[in-house]
Amino acid sequence: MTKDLLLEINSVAKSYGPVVALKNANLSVRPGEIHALLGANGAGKSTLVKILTGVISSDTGYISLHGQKVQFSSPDDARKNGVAPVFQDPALIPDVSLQRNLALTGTNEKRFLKEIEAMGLSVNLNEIAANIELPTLRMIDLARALSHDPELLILDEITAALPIDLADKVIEIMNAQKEKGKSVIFISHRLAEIESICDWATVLRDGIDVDSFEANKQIEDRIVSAMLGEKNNVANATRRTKQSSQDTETLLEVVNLSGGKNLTDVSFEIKKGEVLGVAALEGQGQDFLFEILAGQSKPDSGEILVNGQKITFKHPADAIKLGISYVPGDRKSALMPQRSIRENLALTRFRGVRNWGRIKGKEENRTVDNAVASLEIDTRAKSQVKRLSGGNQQKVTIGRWVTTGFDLLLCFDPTRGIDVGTKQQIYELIRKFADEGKSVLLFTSELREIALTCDRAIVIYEGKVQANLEIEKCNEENLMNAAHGLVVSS
Amino acid sequence: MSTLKNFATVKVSKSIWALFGILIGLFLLTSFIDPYFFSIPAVGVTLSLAAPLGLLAAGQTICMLTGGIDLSIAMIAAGAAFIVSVKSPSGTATALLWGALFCILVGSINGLAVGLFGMNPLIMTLGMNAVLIGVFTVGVTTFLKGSSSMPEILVTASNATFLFDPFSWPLVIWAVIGGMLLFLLNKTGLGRLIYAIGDNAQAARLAGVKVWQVQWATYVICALLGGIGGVLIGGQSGAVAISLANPFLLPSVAAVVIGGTSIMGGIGNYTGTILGTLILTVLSYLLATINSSEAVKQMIYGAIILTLAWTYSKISQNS
Repeated sequence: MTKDLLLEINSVAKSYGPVVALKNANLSVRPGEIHALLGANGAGKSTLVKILTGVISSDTGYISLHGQKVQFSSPDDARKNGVAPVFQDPALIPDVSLQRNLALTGTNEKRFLKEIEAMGLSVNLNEIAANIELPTLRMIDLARALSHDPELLILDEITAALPIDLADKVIEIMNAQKEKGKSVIFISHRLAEIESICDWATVLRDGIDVDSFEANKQIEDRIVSAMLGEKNNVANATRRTKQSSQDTETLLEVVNLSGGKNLTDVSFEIKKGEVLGVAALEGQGQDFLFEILAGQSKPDSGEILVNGQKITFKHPADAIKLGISYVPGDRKSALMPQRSIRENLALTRFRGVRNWGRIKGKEENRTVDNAVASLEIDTRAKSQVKRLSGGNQQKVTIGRWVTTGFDLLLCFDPTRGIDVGTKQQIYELIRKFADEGKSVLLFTSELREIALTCDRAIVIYEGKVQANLEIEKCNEENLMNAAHGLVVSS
Repeated sequence: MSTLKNFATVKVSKSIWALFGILIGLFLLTSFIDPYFFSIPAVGVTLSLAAPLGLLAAGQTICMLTGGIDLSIAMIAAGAAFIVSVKSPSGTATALLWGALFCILVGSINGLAVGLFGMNPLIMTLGMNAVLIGVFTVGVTTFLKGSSSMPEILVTASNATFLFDPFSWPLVIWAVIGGMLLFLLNKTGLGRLIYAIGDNAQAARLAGVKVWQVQWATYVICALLGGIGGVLIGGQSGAVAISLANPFLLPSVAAVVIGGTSIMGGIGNYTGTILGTLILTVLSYLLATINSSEAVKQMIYGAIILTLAWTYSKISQNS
């Protein structure tokens, strides 16, 4: 343990059952330093912040503050010891007034109001938190953290939800903390911000701190390559057998679609037999895009055309009728955990009142057995799908649509949390669908999957299509740059 | 690839055997205390008295499999019996039809409120229970004035022996309807959907299932089962009153829970409920033979139900 460090995180690991969130993370922060913590989605940044601030405890490793080993029992405990976090999501209780929210965390009202004033904002303490705009809420979270006069301030993607003027304000505050000799851990996807204000950067990948370096100018390449790791592709990547999809007809066209919190204006089209990749950082509106296309949510404006016909969905059943099937990102929302593989696979057979009658046993056996065979589903734990591995569960959610039949499969991050072997099977499956003339819209948080499985890709940034890339251009650098809002020539 | 053919799980059959063991144990204990209980006529009476509870619990089973509950089922049962007796002068068939219409109406209101308007089933059916009490209290002296005795043929159907002891008409009715319900739950598309929405309604919706339609059908079927049970209760007691089925409400829930159906929905079966019903019926006979005050009996009854439910959950966890 080194005395001149403010914070030292040593070999911290955390697993949730079979899922490893952090493998071996190290982080050192000096006094008066602004330290960038970087990494792709799921690299373990948020887990590390939660361990540091006492939200969860680590499995192994230790944390020391001023050379003293510490383990905080709660965020409150962390705050009292000079570590104040501002989490990714607003941490105020929506249904009670600001005043009561402050009282809950033992925040001094006068100091809080002073911080708010210094930001050039004004708030009414009697306001119910739910009525306050998101950007203001973020600033309130920040002011609350500052009023505890923290030695170490942790900002987890605070600028993502802020307009430019408030984002500048946050940067001013970080610099002010630095001048006072206090430290800041700054998590952001905006590389430009990091270059301009951070002193040091640590990059996490797959739960390990893969690189840590001084953040002077021109570190962009180093950050991106550390985030992505070696360009190790999954053994013998899937070969695209399709030549070109340029001549075929358009299946689905989306025009100026907007809705939800983040989706502002998205237009694109998918051809028959085409796999279209979607790349985006977290929270760019891609989840809502998929929900709209699946008939699960309604857009605010814009048009969807299927085979040239304008359509609107009232219920997922309407989308399914048109051949649009949805594999949601959260497997739990697609499966009946306590029911058997058979019942999960056959579920769609019973939609519509006319299928409520006697089950056609033989026909069901045939389709279910076909799906089990063609997807190589492991049936040892067949009686309850909650006992299957994540990969097998995902095969069941996809297999359901194989038994039903579809023209367009919407896959939202289908390989998240799945082992490499099963990932490969899913890539092959997606290519097989395309070869059969079916289309796939594939969002993935693993950018290399786009080059492996897609024919073309769009990148969404701040709710808009930032880039529309042919397969030759779909390398990870281009995708990553576009996902951060940089212009990439197509 | 015929590996998926038998989807009945080992776990279910194991707990069914455990319940069966408890039933036999209770039966032998009761026979030991009151030797008359160990006779064919006594078994016959017990089974015919179990039939109405078995029907109400059947309705409760399908509601609870969807993750719901029907606390208005006792008032639906009483209401159906009441309407049948009032309408009996215009013929038994007509009277039964009126009773069925009443059940469909109340079941539809429950089901649509839960399915379309997102009402919490507990609150909705509790409210419906209160409304029905009010309607029938007013109705007795106004629009539902008339006969308070059941048609003769229904009194016979609720009591008479079928061929020979221990078989009775109520038992036959219960067996036929119970068989239909087992078929519905295990062999039909609607049955699959009842389990599906109880396990994960969101997943069912994403698979294109209109969840509200399933809930509507469930509460209507539940009300009809309650109505049939109510007519049997009315026939067994001869005269009809508003409070007729009140003593059946909590046992109808207890029978389902003892039978291993999860109150969260998605898992369970009617076979378990049948055993739960028989256990509760033998238990009330046992308590009736014990010579002690009503308060003590109630305490013993409650304690035994809690013990059963606890033991059962242990058994299912371990297997």
